[in-house]
Amino acid sequence: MSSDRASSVVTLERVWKRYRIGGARRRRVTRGRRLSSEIARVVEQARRRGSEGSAGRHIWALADASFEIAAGEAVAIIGANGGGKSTTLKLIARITQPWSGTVRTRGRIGSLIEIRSGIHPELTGRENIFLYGTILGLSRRDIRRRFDDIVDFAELGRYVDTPVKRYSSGMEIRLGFSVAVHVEPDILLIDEVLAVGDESFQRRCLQRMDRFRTEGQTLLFVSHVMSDVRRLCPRAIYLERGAVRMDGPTDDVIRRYHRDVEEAGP
Amino acid sequence: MTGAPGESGSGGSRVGGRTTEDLGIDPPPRQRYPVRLGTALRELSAGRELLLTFAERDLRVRYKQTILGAFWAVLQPFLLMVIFSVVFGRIARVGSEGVPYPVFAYSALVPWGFFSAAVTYGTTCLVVNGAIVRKIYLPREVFPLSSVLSSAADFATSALILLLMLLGYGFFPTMAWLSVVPLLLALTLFAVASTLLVSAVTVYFRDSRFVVPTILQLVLYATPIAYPIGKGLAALPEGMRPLYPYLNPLVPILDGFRRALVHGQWPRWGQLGFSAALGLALLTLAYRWYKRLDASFPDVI
Repeated sequence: MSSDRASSVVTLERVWKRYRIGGARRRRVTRGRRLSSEIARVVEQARRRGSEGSAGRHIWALADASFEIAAGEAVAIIGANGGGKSTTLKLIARITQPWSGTVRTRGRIGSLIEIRSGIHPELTGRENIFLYGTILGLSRRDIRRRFDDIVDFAELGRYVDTPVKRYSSGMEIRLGFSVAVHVEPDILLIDEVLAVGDESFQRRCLQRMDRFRTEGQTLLFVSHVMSDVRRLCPRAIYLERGAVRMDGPTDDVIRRYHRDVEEAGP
Repeated sequence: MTGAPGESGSGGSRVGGRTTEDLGIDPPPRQRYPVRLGTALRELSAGRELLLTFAERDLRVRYKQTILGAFWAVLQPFLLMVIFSVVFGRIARVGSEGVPYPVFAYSALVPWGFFSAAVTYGTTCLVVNGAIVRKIYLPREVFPLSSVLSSAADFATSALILLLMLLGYGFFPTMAWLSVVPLLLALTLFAVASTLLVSAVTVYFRDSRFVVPTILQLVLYATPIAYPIGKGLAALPEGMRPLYPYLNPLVPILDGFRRALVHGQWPRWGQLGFSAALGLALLTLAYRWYKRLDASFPDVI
């Protein structure tokens, strides 16, 4: 399980994270509202933002979550929707800041959190490989060197110079995934990307992640597919409504999770 | 720290998590994470290639599926020059300091086009790149900066046409043309500062998409671009005239381009120096402010 502080590459210490919900950030539904009412609304919002008292307007995606991950570990994060899994990955990836608490990481982080976001539909596969590769922290020279591998892994073939908007969604995901795994990070964050793509691609992704592990990289894996979790990760962290409910050997944690789900009823 | 199982789905929130009442304990107060400008600048400098890549992408995407492609970069200020030539040159006859009105207007419109395009693209740059802002960590000032950089590329194309036009009208390079370098630097300070500001504001208030074009129009007409600086001064009350170049710091810059390229005169250094200092101060403030806000962009956008 977790180890001494010196060798840990990911540390969360009493991390809290809250998000605003509904109300205050309601988007306009009706058209043609009167200017006076709009102004009144803006003033009201600003006033509300000033007073932090309105408790019901926020939810705590993470509430006092702590754990440590050592170099070379493969850890799954499981739990029901809204448990805080994606928020945890976002905090580790530094995309978002905690409300309070400490998030520490060591080494280059690669995140497969939403691999379609860095891809621009108007650009070709080739242009996107350079774009997304740079976004993920590769230099152009690195990308040029790995270009053929990336194209092969994504099975783009002759579509490499076609705009991505003409790709099937599976191809688009393969492109993003392929770039991301070729970044060769020290810590790889994966959020349910395996749910897309066909079986042969999923199998190759799993093989690739096995290789990550044997090469000593650290893996954080969010998934609802328990067979994948068992296969990749000896350790699992079960998040429930923003708190670490259990942290331990994967089989035990999954059993606990399933029991909770059954108790909660349909 | 276990929530009672079976109590799930309270509030039915799609986002999950618990409201403060649900917690059962008091949440800690908000922790302030200080913004370190040195670290920010180091990260930005490490992201140079990222900036270039985004600027390149902006340019590619901007002119994809257009028939005229990058020609639009030239056409936009050029058409404005034609309109100005008719309206201000022929109809209103504002005068053009003794040179043909088209060169007169275009020599200031081309640098103005750079500033205005940077701010215009900058207004929406974070919202347009929302998916990346929400999902990937990177120094987020690359988005407004790439708006400036891609506008600079368009500007270079326009500047080429301006050069041909100057030569065609018989205005040949003089030593004073060298002042284009400090003038461009000063203009870039304002372009970057304004772009940082409007991009961050748009994250919180999409209203800026309507406000910014109007403000740009206002600044365009408040600056001696369509008319000679003399006319602008004459329109002001007597006591305000000496303040003109200081109240609108773009005045000595844009008029400076015209002085140099068309009249072969050096800029008014005192005024230009004041503008540059103001631009630098504005940029420093804008960057600090941007870095303070940008940690929460992913949660807001």
